[in-house]
Amino acid sequence: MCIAIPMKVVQINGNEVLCEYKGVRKTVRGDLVSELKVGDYVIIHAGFIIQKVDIKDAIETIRLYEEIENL
Amino acid sequence: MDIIEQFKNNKIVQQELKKIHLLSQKLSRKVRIMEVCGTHTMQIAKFGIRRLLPQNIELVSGPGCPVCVTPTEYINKAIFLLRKYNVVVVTFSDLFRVPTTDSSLEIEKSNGYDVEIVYAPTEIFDIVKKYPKRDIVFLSIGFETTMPSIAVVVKEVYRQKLERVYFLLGNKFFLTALEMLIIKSRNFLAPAINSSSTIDGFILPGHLSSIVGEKVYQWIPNRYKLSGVISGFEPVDIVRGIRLVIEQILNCDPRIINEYSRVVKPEGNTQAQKILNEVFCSTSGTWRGLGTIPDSGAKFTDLYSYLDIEKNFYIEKISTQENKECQCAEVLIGQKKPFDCKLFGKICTPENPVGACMVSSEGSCAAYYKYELL
Amino acid sequence: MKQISLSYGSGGKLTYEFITQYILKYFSNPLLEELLDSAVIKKDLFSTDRIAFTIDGYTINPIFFAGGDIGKLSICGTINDLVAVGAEPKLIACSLIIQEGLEFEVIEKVLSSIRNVCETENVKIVTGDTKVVERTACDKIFITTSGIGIIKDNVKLGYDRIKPEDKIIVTGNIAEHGFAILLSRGSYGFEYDIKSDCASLYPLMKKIFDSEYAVELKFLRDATRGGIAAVLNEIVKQNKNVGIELIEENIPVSDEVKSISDILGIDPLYVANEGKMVIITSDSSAEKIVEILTSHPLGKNSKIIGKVTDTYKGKVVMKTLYGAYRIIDMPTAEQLPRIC
Repeated sequence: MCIAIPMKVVQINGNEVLCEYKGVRKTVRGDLVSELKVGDYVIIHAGFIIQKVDIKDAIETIRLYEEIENL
Repeated sequence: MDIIEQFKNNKIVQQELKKIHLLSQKLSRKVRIMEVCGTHTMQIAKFGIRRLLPQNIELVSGPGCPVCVTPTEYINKAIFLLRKYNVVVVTFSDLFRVPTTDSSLEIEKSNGYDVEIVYAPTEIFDIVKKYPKRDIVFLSIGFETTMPSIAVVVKEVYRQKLERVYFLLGNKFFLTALEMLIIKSRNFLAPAINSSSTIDGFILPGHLSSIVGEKVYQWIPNRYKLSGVISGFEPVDIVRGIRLVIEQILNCDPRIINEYSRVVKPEGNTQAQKILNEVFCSTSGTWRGLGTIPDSGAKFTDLYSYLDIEKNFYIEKISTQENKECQCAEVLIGQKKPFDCKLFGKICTPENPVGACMVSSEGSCAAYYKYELL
Repeated sequence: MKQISLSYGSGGKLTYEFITQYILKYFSNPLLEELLDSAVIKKDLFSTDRIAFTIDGYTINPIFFAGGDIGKLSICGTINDLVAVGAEPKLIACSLIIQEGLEFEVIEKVLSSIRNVCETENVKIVTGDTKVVERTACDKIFITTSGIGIIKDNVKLGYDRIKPEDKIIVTGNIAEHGFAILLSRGSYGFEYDIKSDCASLYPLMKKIFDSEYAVELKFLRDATRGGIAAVLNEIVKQNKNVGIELIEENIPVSDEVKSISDILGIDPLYVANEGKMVIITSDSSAEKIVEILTSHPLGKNSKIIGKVTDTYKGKVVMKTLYGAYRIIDMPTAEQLPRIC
């Protein structure tokens, strides 16, 4: 299954990366991505980070929906 | 504002649905869009998206669940290894309850064999410590999304020179099968005559694409004049993906659009691809419901091939007769819906699955059974 | 560390020692102290027409988990079964099956947590039994409790009382017990702060039983294994003239439960609770009942989650967050996370 929601990087310890999403934490492996930073949003699959989420891109996507209030 | 949460925003979903309804009025015929990824199938069913679409837009589910397309023989092999050699079988929970003719890993475990469920392939190293004197076999399944993670572990097993860890290879290259699926589902001789059973466009898998990138799908519009949208898994992503496919159909301009650009890069995750290719290469692959497809299976590259359990242990081939009434093959390529199958919901249920699509909770029949029977 | 051995269950000196030194230490009351083969109960305890009588076996791994342990669970569970038929819990019979070798320290921890619940809930253990079995016959400790309660005259519940337009209430955030157990078992390497909701629901439900709305109650169900999905499906299977329509938006779920269920692909509707009542009540009383429930700490997250309908007879359906209806089927087996 693909996990739809990204988790946030909280701590990096070599290849071991602690991630968090709304009170749920998991240590995953960071071998498959480079230049990981604390605060990055990442996609997790089978205990590995498979990609980083480009937050600027996400904001751009949402901006397209002008009718949405309070953005 | 929590930007991540916005992809669940119902207002945006409703906006997109409104657009879809408007666009649908311009369609001259019914269009069929296939979501090929099992998680898309589940999410669509869970949110109830199918019921929110206009009548002339039909979503069909494809073969994108690695468990469903794993042939029964694969699980037979794992069970043979347990019974004959008393190995420790390590598996993702997805495979645990998949039935064979007369057993399952769950039943074998209750009979006293060692079947360990893991969430991540890296947990294999804990299992090595738990059973230091046993042969350990990891049931290696999954598409391009999962293969890089397994590859990292394979490389570590190699580096640490672990001697009794093996892999039973059942991984598959999804991209290869996708083309076979289009070929099978299309009537090349007379597409116009049989237009009701062709697919007009694809919702392409989000996380698989995060590994392989968007460029690899170019053959879909180029060769088959079909459109495809790489989509994420949140409700906004899914309805947006559907809308983008319909726009392309209306514009007669089939392309690959990357709706999920916040995660999927044009070239994909090259680091993961590199690791995947160091460890795995393609071979012929057998898909439950689709049959054998050249170059769609995975084997280890030479350096790691000694870790393949089948190179080390004799495994008896126990084939399983598939039920002739089962229409999974047609369902997997989008020609039939689960409801069209005589066995669906009667003989074939999630507790007692007959075919591939009912086997895993992400299979199209299982998703229909769980969410769509009203 | 002192451990229990098979001799403690052999009926001899050590059994007597166990009863007097451990059981009576924690559960002393006149009925139990007589140490008869049965508790002898005077009939004037039951001044009402109806009594409730229930039994449940408790096996759980691990026996200590976030938010409770098997001792607390075994009493709360039986209390809740009594409460679910409108009863005030009174007396409990308790049978322990203990694995040889279990430390007395662990046994005492379990006994003391049983005592704590009995004290706060004012129920008495009046009879019981202890067996010690071989290592392979039991995992640490199994507890069976049976309970007797008196049913209030003004509470009349039954499947046949459920009618279209009745409302469905759940007394708080769902799925916490199941996810707490999953966490205590290692939960696939995920960590979170979800505690089991294991609690006696009598103090909460007493407020409703004592209110003018007690007569409006149609049906109650303690939503344990299989979660609220299982309970609601059982209802529509027993009363096939009705269906149930849930509103996803109204189902109380904590953020943590939502996150972990999204991540593991486990639907909270199917996950066990140990302190949540599903209440079916008349349309007119529903909001008043929720008002009473939310004024009590155990019911502060109570919500009307749906209604009884005659549209989807024999089925449970849910209006999703996005406005579509989908079926909520009977759960088949414990859910496992989906990974690849």
